Amino acid sequence: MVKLQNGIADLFIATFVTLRILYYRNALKCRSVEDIILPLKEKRGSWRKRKGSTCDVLNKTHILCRKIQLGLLRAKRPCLVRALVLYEVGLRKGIDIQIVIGVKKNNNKLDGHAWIELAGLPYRENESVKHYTEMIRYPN
Amino acid sequence: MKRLIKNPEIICKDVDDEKVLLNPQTGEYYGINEVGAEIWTMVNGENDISVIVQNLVRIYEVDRQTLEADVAEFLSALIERNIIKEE
Repeated sequence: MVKLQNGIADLFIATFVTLRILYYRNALKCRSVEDIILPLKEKRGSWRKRKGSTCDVLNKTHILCRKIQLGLLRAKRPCLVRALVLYEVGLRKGIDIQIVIGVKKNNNKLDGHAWIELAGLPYRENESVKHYTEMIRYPN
Repeated sequence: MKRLIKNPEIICKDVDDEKVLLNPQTGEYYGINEVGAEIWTMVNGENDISVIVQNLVRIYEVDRQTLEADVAEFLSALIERNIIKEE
């Protein structure tokens, strides 16, 4: 029974993440990041009672984003969509989460990156994230 | 001459040796060089293009006509991208 419940919970997350990736990919073509993020605050805590620890749900979301975006969609710049999906999941779980957009100079070219921070710490980012200059943070 | 005013939404940060402008409405970001940064500073709601050119002529040893054309082109690009506007 426990296994079955996990299976249903995982299927729910997989479906949710897939749909949100597709939604954000399209939304970013016609709306600003700010316009996409602001209405999300109404979702805060809506998954508090849902099964699965926040850590587990975020971890699965991260893995799914990676597999879907890189494996299936062959996304060249997956970070912003991934950050948006993780941000929404974290917000729904009711945790202290922020989305950050930064820029760094790489061989005389500007390189942008988006990531999320949990309690002020970058989530699942390597050391290179420190080299980005923070441009904007939501909520700020 | 129309005065030039910055879009208050634009975020400007120093990244290494250049300034980067981010428009949060579009998510687009642009790097501007030293001269661009000087112009950006002079876009303060009071100056028009002639004042900006006059100030730059004092700083850089460059032909005024060339400078005028370059500044006009740069400002047009900023206006087109909704980074600044004319008032």
